[in-house]
Amino acid sequence: MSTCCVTPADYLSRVGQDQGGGESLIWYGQSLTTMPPLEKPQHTKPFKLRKSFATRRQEVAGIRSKFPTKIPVIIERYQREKYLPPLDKTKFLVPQELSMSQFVTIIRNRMSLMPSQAFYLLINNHGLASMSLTMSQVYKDHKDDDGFLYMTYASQEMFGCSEECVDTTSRVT
Amino acid sequence: MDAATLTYDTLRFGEFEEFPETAEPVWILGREFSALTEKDDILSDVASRLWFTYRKNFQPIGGTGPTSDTGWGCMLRCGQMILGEALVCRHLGRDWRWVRGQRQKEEYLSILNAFIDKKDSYYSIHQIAQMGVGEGKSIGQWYGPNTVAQVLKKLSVFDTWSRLAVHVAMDNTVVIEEIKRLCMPWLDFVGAACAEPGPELNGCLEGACALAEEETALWRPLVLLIPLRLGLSDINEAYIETLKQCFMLPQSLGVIGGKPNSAHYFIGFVGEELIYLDPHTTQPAVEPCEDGQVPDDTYHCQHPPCRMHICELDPSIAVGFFCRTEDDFDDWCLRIRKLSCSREGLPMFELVDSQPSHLINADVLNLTPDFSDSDRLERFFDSEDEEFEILSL
Repeated sequence: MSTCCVTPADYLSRVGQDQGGGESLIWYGQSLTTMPPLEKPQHTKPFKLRKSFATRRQEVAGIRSKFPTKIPVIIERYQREKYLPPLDKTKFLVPQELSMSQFVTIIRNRMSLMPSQAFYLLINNHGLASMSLTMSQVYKDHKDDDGFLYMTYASQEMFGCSEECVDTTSRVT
Repeated sequence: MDAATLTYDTLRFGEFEEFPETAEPVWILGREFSALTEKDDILSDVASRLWFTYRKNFQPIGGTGPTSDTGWGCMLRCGQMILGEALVCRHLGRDWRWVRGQRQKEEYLSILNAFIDKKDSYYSIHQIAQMGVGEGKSIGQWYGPNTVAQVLKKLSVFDTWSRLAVHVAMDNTVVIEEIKRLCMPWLDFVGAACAEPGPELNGCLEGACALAEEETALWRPLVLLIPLRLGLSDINEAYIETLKQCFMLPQSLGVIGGKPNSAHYFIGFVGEELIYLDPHTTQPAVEPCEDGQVPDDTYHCQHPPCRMHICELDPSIAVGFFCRTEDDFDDWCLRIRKLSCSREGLPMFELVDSQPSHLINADVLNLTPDFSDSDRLERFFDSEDEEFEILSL
């Protein structure tokens, strides 16, 4: 495969030095380790892997009995996300009548995103959330067996890859 | 033929597969072809699209910057291609065909000149790279589909010749009212004039009527770009049918996106394969001739177009549509509504009549966090100090 990848910052530092691209490049899967340290220590494992199913289910049962009109939502950053900031919270209790659009606006405001910045919420790591649905509608269709509604946020990937490095890899392999 | 073209031809031309002989329909930017009986038409349609690739030896960007975009400019070039297609539809029409070596129409030359690699061209690599600074991208940095869409929207304002209304629909939602206001700004004048008929506003109204001689005075031709993310690391297969449908709409401008790390301009599909124009070929920058003609051979893809399996598509894309008139846009809305009812695939975006009220009045949503609820929340729920954050209305 010729999916060579350098982060934009890496690329910039290379421009002018070596256009030939013969050196080893940083591969996509490793880009997380090359990211600058985050301001706050972040959970490295996704919420689901941090807690057992039984614990999670118990937690939902407890919180639902206290707040029956609120939806327990886990919102996490896509592991390879490079542009959107981390959120300081993972667990949210959201009013069931809140629309997805309102929820996205809250999260966007929390991250101080510009309206022109790309921000996507994927339900269950899968499909885009339909903005006019309410939380309870989304919950009904997509809640996990443990009772949480899982969402992942991500921006968009960036594209760029020098012709030279494609040629180099294809010649090597 | 100069040396660079020769090298390019001899090195790469052999890699391009012939177009497949298949009974499955071929869709290219809203037009259906048969691969069995219309192969020449397919190739002629593909060759008529503007093909923008990496170039070298152009004027340094910003006076002292890069003179080539090899390695970083592929998404910027895809942005040029999708906007170039919009300009072709706007000034020449979807059925216009490029004929090699022919003396070209003035409109065609004006379009091409808008993309020539010079600092003053409306949509040159220079303009796109420099306008990207406002989007947080320094010159030479990689773009995503949304980045280039945002930049094209800003640049289109200066193109008074085309008078395009470029709209970038965010949050996978297309708001009809927003687009109608953008394409018919005079609507607001009329509304205001009815409410309060002052002498100045009457003047504006007369102005609007005088402009109506040109059809586009009543509707600025719309370029609708919808940046999306159809999955995290891979495209969610539930979107594949819907994505194909996009290429079948007569308003289609195609899709900008790519395989991981390499951007492509997708113009159609056949079976399970996407058809695309690839910017990853470095060609020398072109100088317009003194008589105003432009050597335009290298701006058209004259080999069979590249194809890739639809599942290889990186989930980050932007889908484009062109609506020359209000009727075109109404027709597009109708078709999108029909598609979302058909349940054949998952809708990629949502079409709504008007902006949700909380976006008009941002204060409505100043509701976080809710401390009265937090007081009720006992901490024993969580031993890891992971508390719920409670949102209320």
